[in-house]
Amino acid sequence: MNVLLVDDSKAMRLIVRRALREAGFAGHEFVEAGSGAEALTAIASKQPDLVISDWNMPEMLGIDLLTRLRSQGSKVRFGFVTSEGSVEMRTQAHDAGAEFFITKPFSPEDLDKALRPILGGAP
Amino acid sequence: MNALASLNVETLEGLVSTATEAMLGLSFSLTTPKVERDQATHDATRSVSVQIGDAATLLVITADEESGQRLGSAMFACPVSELDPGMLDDALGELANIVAGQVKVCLGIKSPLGLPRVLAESPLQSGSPMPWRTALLQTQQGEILLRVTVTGSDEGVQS
Repeated sequence: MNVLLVDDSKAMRLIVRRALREAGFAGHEFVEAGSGAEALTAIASKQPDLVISDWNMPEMLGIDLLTRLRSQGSKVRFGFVTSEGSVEMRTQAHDAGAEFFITKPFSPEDLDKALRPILGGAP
Repeated sequence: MNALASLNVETLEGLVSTATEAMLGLSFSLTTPKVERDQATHDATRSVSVQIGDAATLLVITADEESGQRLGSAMFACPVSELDPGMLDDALGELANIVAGQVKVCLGIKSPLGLPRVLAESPLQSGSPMPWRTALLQTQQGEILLRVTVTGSDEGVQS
């Protein structure tokens, strides 16, 4: 599967990627975007199967990215990896169509639990 | 007892270690100030803040250059020689972001986190806002030394 990682922090994109590899998802193809705008471009050109996005980013929040995608008719699978995990944010994410909500700090096991139903076993 | 009062240095130690152990395999413990390096962190070679609640409530992490490089090296999984200043700010900022998210939960703050902001000088030096709680933390071998401070008032914080 083709997975798009969206985070304004390059360090965090790398950490998520490393944890996904440790969780057994190394065989999937990963692309990265450093902002919501970059993500929209990448989604249009790369057509990922899954988007894993930060919430709190400059210019466009992750939830606004998801809302924009859905308003454009995109059905790409989408989930959040973020530093905040209030009930309100989880509800907002779920209502907007997010399939998972992982709060930082996370372990490879956390990613495995949330993503295994989507990414399955080895590709 | 209000929420701020419950956020002691041991809690800060735990929050930082939880973040770094899960993602980097690094644990931090409280340390006592050693004059030279403590002064170095106080001189704020690298400081990043994240607004947690109202404008006065900030999480600030400060590192000397050497500690910032080692943290960056761990986060980017590369040698120090491959790091640029932007990567060092990014690494410290992301740690501050994660710890701030946990501090926000501890304090029962509802408003969203701000974005990590690189500081030209430590707010501990400028004197505003007033430091509220500071933990000096180091890794087991003392390779990384961080000053973690929560500043602020009781405004906007659940009691």
